[in-house]
Amino acid sequence: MSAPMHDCLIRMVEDEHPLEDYQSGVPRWCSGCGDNAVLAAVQRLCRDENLRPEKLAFVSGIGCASRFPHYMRTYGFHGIHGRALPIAEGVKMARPDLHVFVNTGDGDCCSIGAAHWLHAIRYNMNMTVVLHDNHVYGLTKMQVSPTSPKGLRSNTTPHGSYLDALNPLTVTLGVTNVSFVAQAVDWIPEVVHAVIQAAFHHKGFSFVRIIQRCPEFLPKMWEPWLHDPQKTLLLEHQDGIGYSAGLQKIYKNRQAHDPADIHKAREIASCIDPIPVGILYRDDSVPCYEDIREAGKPRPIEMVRSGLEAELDKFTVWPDAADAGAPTP
Amino acid sequence: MSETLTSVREDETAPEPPLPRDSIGKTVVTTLDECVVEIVSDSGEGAQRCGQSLGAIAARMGNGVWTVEIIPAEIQPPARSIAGASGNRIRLGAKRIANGGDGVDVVVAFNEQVLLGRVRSGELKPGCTIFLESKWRTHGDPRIAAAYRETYEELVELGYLVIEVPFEALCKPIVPDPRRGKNMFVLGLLCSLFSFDLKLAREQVRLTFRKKSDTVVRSNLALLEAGAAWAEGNLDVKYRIPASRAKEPQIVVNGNTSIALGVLASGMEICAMYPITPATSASHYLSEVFERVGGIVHQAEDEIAACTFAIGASYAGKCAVTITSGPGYSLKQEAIGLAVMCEIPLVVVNVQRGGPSTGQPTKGEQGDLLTTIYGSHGDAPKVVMAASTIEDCFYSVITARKIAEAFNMVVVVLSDSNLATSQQPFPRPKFDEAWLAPPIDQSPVPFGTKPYDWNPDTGLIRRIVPGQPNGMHTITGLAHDRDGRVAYDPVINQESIRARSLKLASLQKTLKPPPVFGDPEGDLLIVGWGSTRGAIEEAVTRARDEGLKASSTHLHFLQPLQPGIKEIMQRFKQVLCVEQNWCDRPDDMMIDENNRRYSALAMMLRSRFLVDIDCWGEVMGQPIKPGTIHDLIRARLA
Amino acid sequence: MDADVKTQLAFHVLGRSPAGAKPAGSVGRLRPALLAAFRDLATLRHDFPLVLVRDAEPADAVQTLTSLINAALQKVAPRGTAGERMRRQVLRVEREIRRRASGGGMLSAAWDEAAAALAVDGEIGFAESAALAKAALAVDGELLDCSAATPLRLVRHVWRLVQEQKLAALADRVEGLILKLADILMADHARSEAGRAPDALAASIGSGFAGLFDFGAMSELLGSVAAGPVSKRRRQRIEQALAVLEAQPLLTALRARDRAAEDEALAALVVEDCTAALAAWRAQRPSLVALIRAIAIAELEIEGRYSEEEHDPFFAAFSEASLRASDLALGPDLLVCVEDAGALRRAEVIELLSAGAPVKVLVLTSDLLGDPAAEPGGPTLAGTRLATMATGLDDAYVLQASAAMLGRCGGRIARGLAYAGPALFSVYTGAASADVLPPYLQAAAATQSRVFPSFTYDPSAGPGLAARWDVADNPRPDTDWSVHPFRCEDAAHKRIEVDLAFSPADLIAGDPRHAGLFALVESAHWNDAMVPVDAWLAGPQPIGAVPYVAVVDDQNRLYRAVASEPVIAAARRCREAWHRLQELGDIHNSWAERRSQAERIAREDAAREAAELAAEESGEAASASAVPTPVAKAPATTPAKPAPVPEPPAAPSGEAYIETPRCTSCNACLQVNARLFVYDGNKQALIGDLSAGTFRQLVEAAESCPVGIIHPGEPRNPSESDLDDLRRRSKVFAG
Repeated sequence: MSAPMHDCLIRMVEDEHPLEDYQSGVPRWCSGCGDNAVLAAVQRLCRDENLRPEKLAFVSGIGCASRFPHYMRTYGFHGIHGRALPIAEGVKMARPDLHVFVNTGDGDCCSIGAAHWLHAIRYNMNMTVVLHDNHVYGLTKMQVSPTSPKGLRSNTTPHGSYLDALNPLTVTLGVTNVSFVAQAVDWIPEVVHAVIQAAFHHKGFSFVRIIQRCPEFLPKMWEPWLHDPQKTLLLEHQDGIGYSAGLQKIYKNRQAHDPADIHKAREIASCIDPIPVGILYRDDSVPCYEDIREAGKPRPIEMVRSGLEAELDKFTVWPDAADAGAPTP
Repeated sequence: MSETLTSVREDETAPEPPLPRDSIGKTVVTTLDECVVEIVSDSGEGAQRCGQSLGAIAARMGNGVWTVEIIPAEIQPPARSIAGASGNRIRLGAKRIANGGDGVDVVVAFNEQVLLGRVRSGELKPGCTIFLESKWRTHGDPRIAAAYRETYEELVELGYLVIEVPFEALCKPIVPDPRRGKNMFVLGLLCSLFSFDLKLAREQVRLTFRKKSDTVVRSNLALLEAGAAWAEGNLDVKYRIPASRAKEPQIVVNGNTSIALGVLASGMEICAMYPITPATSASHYLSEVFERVGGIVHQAEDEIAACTFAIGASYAGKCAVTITSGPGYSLKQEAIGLAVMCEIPLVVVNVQRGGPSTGQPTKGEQGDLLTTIYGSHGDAPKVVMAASTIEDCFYSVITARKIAEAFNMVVVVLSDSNLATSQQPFPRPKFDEAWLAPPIDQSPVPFGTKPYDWNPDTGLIRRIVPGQPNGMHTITGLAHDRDGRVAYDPVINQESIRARSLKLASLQKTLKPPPVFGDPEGDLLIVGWGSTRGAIEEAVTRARDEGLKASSTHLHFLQPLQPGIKEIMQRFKQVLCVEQNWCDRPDDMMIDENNRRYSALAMMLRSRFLVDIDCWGEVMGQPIKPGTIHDLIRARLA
Repeated sequence: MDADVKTQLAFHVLGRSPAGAKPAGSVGRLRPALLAAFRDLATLRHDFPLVLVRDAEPADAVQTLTSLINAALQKVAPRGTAGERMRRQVLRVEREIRRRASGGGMLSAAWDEAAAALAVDGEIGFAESAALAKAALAVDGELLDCSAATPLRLVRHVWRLVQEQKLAALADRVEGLILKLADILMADHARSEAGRAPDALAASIGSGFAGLFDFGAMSELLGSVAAGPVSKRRRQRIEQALAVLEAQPLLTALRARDRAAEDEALAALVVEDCTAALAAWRAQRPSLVALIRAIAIAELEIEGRYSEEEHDPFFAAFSEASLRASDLALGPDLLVCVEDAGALRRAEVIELLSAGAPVKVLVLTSDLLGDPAAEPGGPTLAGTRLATMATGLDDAYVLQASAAMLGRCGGRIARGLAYAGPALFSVYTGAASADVLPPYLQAAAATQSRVFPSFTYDPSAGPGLAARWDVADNPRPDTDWSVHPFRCEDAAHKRIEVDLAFSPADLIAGDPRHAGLFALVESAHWNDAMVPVDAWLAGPQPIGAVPYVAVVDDQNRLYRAVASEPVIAAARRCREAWHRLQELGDIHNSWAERRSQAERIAREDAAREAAELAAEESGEAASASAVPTPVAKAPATTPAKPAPVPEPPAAPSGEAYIETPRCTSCNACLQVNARLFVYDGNKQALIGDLSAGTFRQLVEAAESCPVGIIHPGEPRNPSESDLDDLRRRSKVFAG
């Protein structure tokens, strides 16, 4: 009963999808942009899991990263600034059978959409959320973002930005019902792929922050980290992600971390240098809002009819009190 | 219960129960065409429940009924305050009643201060009968006793017939807390006053308290009987309003409940909302019942999230509704523009309240017409409908969903706080499976089907829903081409704007001209929309009864406008828009032809039809009275 | 050799009744000495009665009264003397319930009756204790004493829960499919010309606003973008599938929560005859095929993935042969209950189990030893072999247990009933020889004596035998026999305590039909040549030794019953069978022992050789302590699932290469030259056609690569311009 019996029948008509089957159009991101790495990782995930393109919905807001859905040959919804999460929640609530992904940037998620972000964590709906964090507004041409480092000279802070950066990981880990938090850097594609894969398999709101370089506006920001492997900290655990031998050869700075430990996760999350990558936190026991609300429950016409009639009964004045149909309290 | 009753009956300290009087022959039974009754009290004294029950009993009797809630703006206003009146106005009539009427004929007040509030705002008819709780006369606090006496004198001075009744003292033998029980005593009194069938009253009380224990039901029935008995024994007037019972079952609900029932019936499954007065009670009721029919009410974190959540659900195949009021509507505007641009079907209900800004949360106004039609930046065509009766509230949701899905458009349904809280019986809807169709369709689409394949003549597209094989595409709020891809081509941009606009014209072609109330031609045509319909039509009827050649027409579709409006207007010498929103008064010193701001509908009609339409409106927060409009007609046609 | 010994020996060997010994049948009913203490079962806190728990998960549906009461006491009884009193009082209630258990009924009712009966004493706090403990009982259900009817009632109870659970899930699934198929048709109708006919549109909007519309115009308008209708063939396919899905009486009953219809449908699935079961299964199969076919078609249609070209021929050929075990498990299972009535019946059972049907067969055995009247000679043990035979089928779930053990088998019975294939439950009821021992004791004796050991064979537990076999639920599973202390008094009323093993001979001695196989020897004639049967079987005995078992008669007089050769032969066969079971259950595994023996020898050999070698080299004598022990493999410290990313290839020196696994797919190099640089299947860059580009492009790409993984190597074309400068720039990227 557990195995959908038609799987084998579907396989009869369908070869596995190569990567190109998930590709639509030519990305118009700048060359060298980290969004490309995420796109490749997500497409690999789709191929590896043999996900059916029509069952995927990519939802985004506004910003460079939010162009993401346009480059996937799946269903996509490129929405308005900051509102990707509530749109995605609506999609998931209406259609729990769809795999929902959200691509959002640091401005989209942490600034204009910050309220939705907090509540989305609380709803814990089953979706994979990728925060493409390049620490700057790109599409609107170089303004400071909530995650920009203090002192950043941008078009709105020509004398350097005034505030310390917001840390999306500690914020997420501080919200009730948080169930999955991971981080990767765009320059280690293997980790990007591994955390997105783990996020996809987690049932709940899977929050993945990708630290990205903006080749146009912040080309040098992550140079030290690119050149010094010691400045990246690989989190390892049997419940975490694995690293190839090749990667372990380069990145020797590793730390055991049990993703079930939220206190440790918060401690690690607050570390900015070295950058921790891998799974910081995972709790499979948090219920999903769409399950609590029994979304997708079959809804026969009879159910609606009888429900409506029962309600109408409550308010009905019958032509004659002796009428058989009159409600008797 | 019976024990308590017995023991209390033997309580010597209780006031004497009224002795049966031989009043036959002394009681004058007056037949009335209609009567307006108000019950006012501090919050929490059950006046609203009493009024609603009276309305329901009248509806059972076969009388025309319209009930209006009197709601203070605060949840717990200070007791005995002029602005704190809470209660209900019930207009009873021999025929169908469609508005709250002009002045009050009979008032029951549990304290003189709340009554004073009603007097000051001019709600009472001259000579109105007042039943006033008399316990304050001997109140321990001399200031309260003095205030009571002073008000009493004033009321008598003003020519009202004030009957002092010790309601609480009379209830005390029956219930331990008479403050909470007196409302059913009053119900009994009023039932007797209007010669209602006590059997129906008992049934209604049982229905009202159906969720409570037997003891509660029994003590409320006892209160009802006591009130009726008191009236029989102490009053020498009785009214009778001729009734004719409906042949079909009727339902009695207020406009917000009607909207919620409409959501149930429409086949929609998701309502996303954020609390806002006066829309919220629709969502309250819906939350209570929606899950039973497989629906979900999602209280989002804010208005924007509520709207975008609904858009997400609609996009995924299940047309959703979001219910709000003015300030919330303003917040949703950007998202509504997104739905327009992406051609996602969506139903938005705006239960209007006083504005601008926070305005008057509990008071009605028709101030949002232009913002709903023209709101959201750029050219964002959407359908705007208005409910004009409680029954409309129900069917407008079903209709709105149908249009939304057939045309892939946003449909805004306008209601307002007057409809939201008023009750009026209407024929019980007969469920039709077709209301629920079409269900979500996951059939594969033919290869090459374009998501925005605008029909060149109608602008319509065929909707593709996620999950349909071969239909994969990305929708975007950016200008896009037929494939949904971001369009950098100016021609495509213009073509898509044309297509979205064309849908309104297409829909307009499926509409019929609005009917004219009264003769199809004459001296004055009143044009209205929304909740003013009952008052306008009553005023027109009165004027016509006086021989004035006035008619009216009421618009259900504000965007697109129904056809034939210009032809109708041309058959009248004068056209006047009556709306509950602001228009400048020509007699104000600063106002002239060049700067006068017209009311919303007048402005639209003038610009569209180049007809010299005048307008009149008021923003008093309460429904426009038929008498006011009647006076208006007389002034125009005198 | 004295006379006693001689005659006893003669009896053992020849079966001739000796002088001075009584024939076993002469002193009335005998029972094995170890069972002497259990005259009154009501006072014994044993596994019966059972409680068939209502509304439970199948695995928890069978509980023993004892365990329920223990759990309740754990919850409510305080520590200390008050708790002790409460415990005592509640245990009295338990005893009273046990006394009344044969009447059955609900536990809660029995509890009340028992408590009321005991309350007459007026003991302080009794009523409170009883009420408190009752409230703490987590569950309620029917009481079940040990009798011939017990196994069927128990299995049927669990079977019903399993069926309900399984079929409820199927009913939900089918209901979902029905709705979604209906939705396809409804959506199609709404799209169709009929669906957008003016009156249909009017109906869909309701009476309230219908007057505002010109539905003729709307009908025409909506026609402008109407999608094509569902093809006739698809519609037909959907309608057929719908018809099949809707015509499932049992599922319909479950969906409608129609208990009576459900009872009726389930009762029809309980059969008492193998042949009838086979026929019923064959009759049921076509409709199961139709159901599965309809489900498959429905799921494909709902997903919009039915391809006529591919699926039509598949479904045209869809038949019983297409069904897999998991498919068959979808439908309801037949429950077959038969008596073990001889070889023919057993053959029928095996045939039924191997028919590929999801039948659950309960075989009840009431006679393990065989009837000498029917088959003269010693015990045949014919009733003990069916279950082990069935394990040879490989894909059948098999459980063997005596009725006495059923209280602990609830979970395993539930697993067998939920198993997606045939299952056999072979149960010894102990109920035929009720004239000697109550069924519970008889059944318990069969388990104790290894004549009818408990075991489970679960093919779904894993591919290896060790995972599939479970014999742990036997007394002392690691030894040949279970041994118990036995207390008695000798002629001088002196208390004696000895350990007695419970062997098949004890069980046989308690069976009056086999009385002739024993000779009773009173204590006066006991002698040192007499050896208990277990010791006798354990190894060669001195000449003249005689095997016996200890038995008691009705008056609790103790005898030694000399066992004749057929008894010993039967006991030996049981022991052999038990050894095999032990081995299958991974106890004293002969393969493992042989293997470890071989390893030990090899290790010693290697050590010796190494020592000799060392001695030769150093010229010193090898010390025994120098034997090297094999180094244990270090446990893996690295996290699981390391990705199989190849090491960056060490390119031949001088050739350009890219560390592909580190490529971030940023497109930078492809923008330099999309033939020189290409993406692999993972969208990561590698060198494509070296001849398609220049060394300059290699260097520029390396410089533009954000992660610095392009290594230009040496220029291929020595005549390329500016080579010196390019070489200098490329140095940064070397190696």
